[in-house]
Amino acid sequence: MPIPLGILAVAGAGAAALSSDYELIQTSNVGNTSTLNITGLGTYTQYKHLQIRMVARSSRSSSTTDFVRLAFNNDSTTRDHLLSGSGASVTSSTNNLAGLRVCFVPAASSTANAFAVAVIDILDFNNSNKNTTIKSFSGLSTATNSINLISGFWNNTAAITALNFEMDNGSFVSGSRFSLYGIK
Amino acid sequence: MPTSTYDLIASNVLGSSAASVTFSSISGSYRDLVIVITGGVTSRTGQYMTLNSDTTDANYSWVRATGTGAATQSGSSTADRSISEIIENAANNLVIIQIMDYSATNKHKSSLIRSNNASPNGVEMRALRWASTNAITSINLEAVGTTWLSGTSFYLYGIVS
Repeated sequence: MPIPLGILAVAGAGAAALSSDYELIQTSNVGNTSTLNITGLGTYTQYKHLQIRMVARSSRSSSTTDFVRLAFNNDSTTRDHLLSGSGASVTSSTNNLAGLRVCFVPAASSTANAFAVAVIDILDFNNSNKNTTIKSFSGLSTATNSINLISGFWNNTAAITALNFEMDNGSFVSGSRFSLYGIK
Repeated sequence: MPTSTYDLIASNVLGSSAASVTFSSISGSYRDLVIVITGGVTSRTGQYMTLNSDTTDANYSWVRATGTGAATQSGSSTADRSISEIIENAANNLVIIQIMDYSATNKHKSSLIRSNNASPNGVEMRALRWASTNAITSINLEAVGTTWLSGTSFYLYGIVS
């Protein structure tokens, strides 16, 4: 039975749109640095949302854990809420640190070759009518277990043009990476 | 120039119940893998994810946090391949597994897993680490001692970076 052209056209258009609606903007492989600044985001007006896929470990000495903070446009006045599982209990906390706590990571005294992973969604990053909110899902399974769902808030309606990642104590070790995707 | 990415690599929608599903010969063309499972199991006895046919439980560890609707729980293991505590014997389950840097040979393989069972068991988030620096080339998803229900679907996606 012939496929009606109208349906075929719609199906084809849908498939094409889906295949290009999630796009890689850049990947940054980092090591021996405590910061990563991703700039120039104001040019990506074709996207509504951003996603960061992160793999990270800290060089922080004499410690099993560290954490990664995220600020926007070099303004770290943020607030986050954290739902966390340690393996023993579930806790909830909030913080007004200089930057959002987006991922707890293993440090120098932790299991060798173990990295934490995170998927961070930044919604409506180009919109200048609302404050920016994010969601981070992150975890590490080591002697210092941590599984986290984090809600972050930047009390500013400006469009985001820069992401500023910083390790709280140590530096990112080689093998750490940040992949940035745009979602239409 | 942005690159289009997020490709379906393979899928398997079960026409009849099956003890396990395997994705094999996974190439290293992508940076991350995403597995989406919808459906359920015949009985609630656990589900394993086995990577590269490595059935040594001591090579797998995980931590989880679970909400049941009435309480929260957290648990962990240093020798277990389980991907969820809440997948139930009904087709009410959704599981999304994110396997990061799956082909890297300089690090252990860490996954983030979100399980959802709207009725009756709740939600769970989990981090699972396979203590191996080998690139992942196969993934086996096993319903331990039971079977995945007919109609359960498994989709494997690759994300480029």
